[in-house]
Amino acid sequence: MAGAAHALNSWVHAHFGTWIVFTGLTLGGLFTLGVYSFLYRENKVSRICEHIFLGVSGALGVVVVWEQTLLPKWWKPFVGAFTGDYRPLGAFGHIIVGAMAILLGACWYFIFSRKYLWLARLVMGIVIGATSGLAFKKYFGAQFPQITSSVKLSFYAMKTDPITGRTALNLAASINNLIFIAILLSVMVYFFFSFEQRHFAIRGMSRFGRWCLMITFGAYFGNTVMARMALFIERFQFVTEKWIGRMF
Amino acid sequence: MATILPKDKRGMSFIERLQWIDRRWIYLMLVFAVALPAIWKVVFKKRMDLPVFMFPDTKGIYDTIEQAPRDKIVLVSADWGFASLGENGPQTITVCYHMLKKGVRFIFWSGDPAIPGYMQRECFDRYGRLFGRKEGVDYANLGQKVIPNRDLFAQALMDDIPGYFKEDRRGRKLADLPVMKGIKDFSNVWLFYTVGADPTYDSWIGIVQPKYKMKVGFGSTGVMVPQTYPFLESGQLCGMLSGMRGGAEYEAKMGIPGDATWGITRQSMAHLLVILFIILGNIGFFAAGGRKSQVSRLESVR
Repeated sequence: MAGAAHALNSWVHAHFGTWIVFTGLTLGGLFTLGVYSFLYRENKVSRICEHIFLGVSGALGVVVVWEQTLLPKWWKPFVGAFTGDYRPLGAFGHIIVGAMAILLGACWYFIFSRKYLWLARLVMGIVIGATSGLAFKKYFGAQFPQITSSVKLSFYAMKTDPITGRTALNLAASINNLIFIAILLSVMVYFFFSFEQRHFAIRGMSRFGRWCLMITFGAYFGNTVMARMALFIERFQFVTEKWIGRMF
Repeated sequence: MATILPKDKRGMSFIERLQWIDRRWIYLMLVFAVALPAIWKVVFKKRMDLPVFMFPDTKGIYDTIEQAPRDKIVLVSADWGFASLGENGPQTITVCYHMLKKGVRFIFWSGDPAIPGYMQRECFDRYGRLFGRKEGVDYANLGQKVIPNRDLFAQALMDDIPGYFKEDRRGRKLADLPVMKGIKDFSNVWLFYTVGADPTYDSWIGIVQPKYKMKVGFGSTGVMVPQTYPFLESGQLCGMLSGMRGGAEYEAKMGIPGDATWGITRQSMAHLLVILFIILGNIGFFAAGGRKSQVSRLESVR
């Protein structure tokens, strides 16, 4: 028995370095296979793995919120105001800010009370007001350049040779502009529902726009498949190379 | 909606059966396709690496880092977790490798608790030693930074970087580190490189870029790629690493073939298999008489 334990210990150290690495990789490999066993059929192993992942991530989330947010940004300044350890805003400032956080945070829970629901609405109003102001700023800043870059008034694009300084037609960029304008207009025509699309030219443009949309959705779907495949490949590489591969 | 599959396939021709293959056979063939490069390596004693070409979106990030001035800094925000390691991992490691090699100052942080340690082990320690770069002098790892609202975070960070972050992962005052010399706000930032499985660039191009005009780069998962291209076209993003492909292209450019280079060959095999299945499915569909036959088949099953 002692000989077997010694042999196992030597094997682990030779292939994985330490028991911690071996245990971590083995658990990772077993959980990966456990979750993927769902692909064969619904089973208890995949359920157990799923629930353990959910439990661990939930517990970790609570710890992270306390360690990273509540402890440094609320508890330490609040308690420090009384003990004198931490007072950049002054003792009174920290007591006021800490107490406000408790009061306003507690107001959220009045959403469960019909009588005092207005208290929860008060806090919601503050949060929605603050975030919507910032969201307006963000969308204006992010989307406005999109509109200006979409307005390509010239069908043709020019390029300048950096050595000779001569200007010539950039054929590839010009074709790209042309395709862009054609797709932009046809897709916009497709979404005109204010009048019936009777004229053959309008109908044709609308149909072309629909085809362009379908190609775009195809590209979206293709990229989604590609992303899922990449995630599977990473797990495959982990199981075959970083876990099983190290055993031999 | 549940798919209706006929239990009895007797009487079906081979072509018709192609449309009713059990999905588990498809999964098995997918595993085989992904394993094919490894089998190739064992049988032929050499790696089956397909050629990788650099796309303009990847080149945008590369060129931006190459042009980084000495007096400015790069901020790297790894907004991803281990769930998207296959795509976002190589995108973060290769770009940081490039900056360590070239000597571009940068600050790194992540919203995920595991990623700062992973990056320190897999990238900063390993390549920092290789190129003689030191933590605190050439780069700073701030560890995990919980970001409950990215818009508020961007708004708060842009005017006072050391004032907002305060400390690095070891608890050293950020403003006192040599890497932060001359760095106050986003006017000292050359590139903001964000990597994530969400559109994490939107707050930076919407709130910070209009004021400070810094460059923004994005390491994107494959799902996010189509909706991000318009921002490249408009110049709001200077470049993008698209999924595993972007990571593989950057690895090839840097000459450090890693997980993405190896993975993209496997992915190409999987794509070939998917294309083959689409062709076979369509042959079966049209050979069986197209849509009309399909509908009657489903009705007969009901």
